[in-house]
Amino acid sequence: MIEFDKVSKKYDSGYEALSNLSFSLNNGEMAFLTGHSGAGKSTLLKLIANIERCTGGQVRVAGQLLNRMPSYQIPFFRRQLGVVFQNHHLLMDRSVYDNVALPLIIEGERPKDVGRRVRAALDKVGLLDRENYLPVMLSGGEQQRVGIARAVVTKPKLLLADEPTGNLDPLLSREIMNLFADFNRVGTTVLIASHDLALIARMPFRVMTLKEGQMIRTGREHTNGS
Amino acid sequence: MGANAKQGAVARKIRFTERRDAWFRHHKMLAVDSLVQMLKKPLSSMLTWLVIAIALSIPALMYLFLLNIQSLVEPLDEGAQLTVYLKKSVSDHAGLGLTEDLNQRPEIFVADFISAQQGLDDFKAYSGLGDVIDSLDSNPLPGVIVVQPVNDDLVAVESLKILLESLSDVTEVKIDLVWVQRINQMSQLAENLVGFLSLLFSMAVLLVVGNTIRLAIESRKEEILVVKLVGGTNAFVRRPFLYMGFWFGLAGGLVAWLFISICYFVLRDPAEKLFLSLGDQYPLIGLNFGGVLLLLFASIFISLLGSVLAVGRHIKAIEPT
Repeated sequence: MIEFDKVSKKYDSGYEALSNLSFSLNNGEMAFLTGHSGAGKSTLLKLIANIERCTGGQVRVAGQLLNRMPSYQIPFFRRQLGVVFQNHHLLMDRSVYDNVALPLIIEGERPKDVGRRVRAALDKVGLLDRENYLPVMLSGGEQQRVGIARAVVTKPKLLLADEPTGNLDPLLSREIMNLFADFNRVGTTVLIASHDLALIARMPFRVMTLKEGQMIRTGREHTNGS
Repeated sequence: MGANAKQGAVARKIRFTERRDAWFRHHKMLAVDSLVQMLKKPLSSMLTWLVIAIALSIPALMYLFLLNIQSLVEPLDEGAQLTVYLKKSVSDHAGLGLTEDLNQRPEIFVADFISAQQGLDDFKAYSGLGDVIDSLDSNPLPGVIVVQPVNDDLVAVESLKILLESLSDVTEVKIDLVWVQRINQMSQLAENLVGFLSLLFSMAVLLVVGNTIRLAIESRKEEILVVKLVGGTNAFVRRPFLYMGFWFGLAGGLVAWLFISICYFVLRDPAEKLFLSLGDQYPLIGLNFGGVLLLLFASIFISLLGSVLAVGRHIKAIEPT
């Protein structure tokens, strides 16, 4: 699903966020991406979502080479992904329903299907009774779940999350991570950037550790539980 | 797992007709949505409408003013005309005789005698200065012969003038053609001026709408980023702002129409009285149906152009980083 081949990313400022990085994530796999802040986690996710372009090597996502994808194709490429952001990027003046419906509206889904699919997504994250709320009326954990519902409402093959539990307490974080595991169980490929090592360690998924733009470890983190 | 991924792909494969339907649906939704958004902020929206309306009604009113002036002058433009002023000593009888003589001449199409008394009566009726005129001891006006030549061109008329001036009973001959021509020249000049001002005011509308849209884009930057992040195309992002420009144009045009109508109804009575005193009963020319359509069309077109320019410049610059 994701293939990085000797990928480098150097910003215009001269800062090299990733250097000569190779890894791959299989179809249907779930993995964590960890490392200190500044290690390149966000840059890596941005390369996958084609928000940034690499300056060396090749990035292949869902069979498509992103290096030279013309900009008019990028929106259509992004529709294949679900992305969850740390600060969830919800539209604060729109209801929960409208927020989740946005990707479907962009895709041009039929209205009757929009309602059905939005409710299905909200049901999965346990917010079916909140569809008419504005995001500000929800707690931080609930807002994050709305963001997840928006990311999965189009049934993407690949789900990316950048610090999805960054602002949440341990219990809520655990719930959110379990939610991602649920989506993985039904076939979605999931990649989550997180520095919550304690939480990651308790989950049975591959952990990739970044340090100074390089992958220093990739494999199952040894665990005591689960 | 593989089957699930496949299902996802099938769910996303949307046929052309469905995409077209979705496109129309999105437009319909946005048309309503952007109108509602505009009406939700009536104060700031109204300011923009007012600026558009003022900028459009000024040249439109000037144009209407010009039309009215031209319609006043037009009937005078039926060809050259000479006014022959007779000496005060010439009696009405002699004046009539001279007129008949002139009517015999081949270069004169028709000559009409207006006696001093008739001229005074006419003037009393037109000017509304009846009391003042009544208080005069004697009629200050001379008898007049109005001559319309067969040949309209200036050289022929000039030579006729010299001929008429040489007559012993005549004090002065005036060619009315000259001031009619002058007025025509002036109205041509005024037309050009109105055209130029229309262009300037249109540019003002363009800039105002462009700036309003730019501010709207600025204030919805966050939303644009989110839409782009979840796969919205530039066209999708652009659409609501183009509709916004459309509604601003329509609303601004309607308010301009309102301004022009108010102006029309306020000025109609005094203007028509003035026209009456100038010699004929003209209705004041206002905006007709075609004029209203043109005003609205121009307003919408300029606003839309302004928003296209603003959107083209600013939306591309907003990209997720």
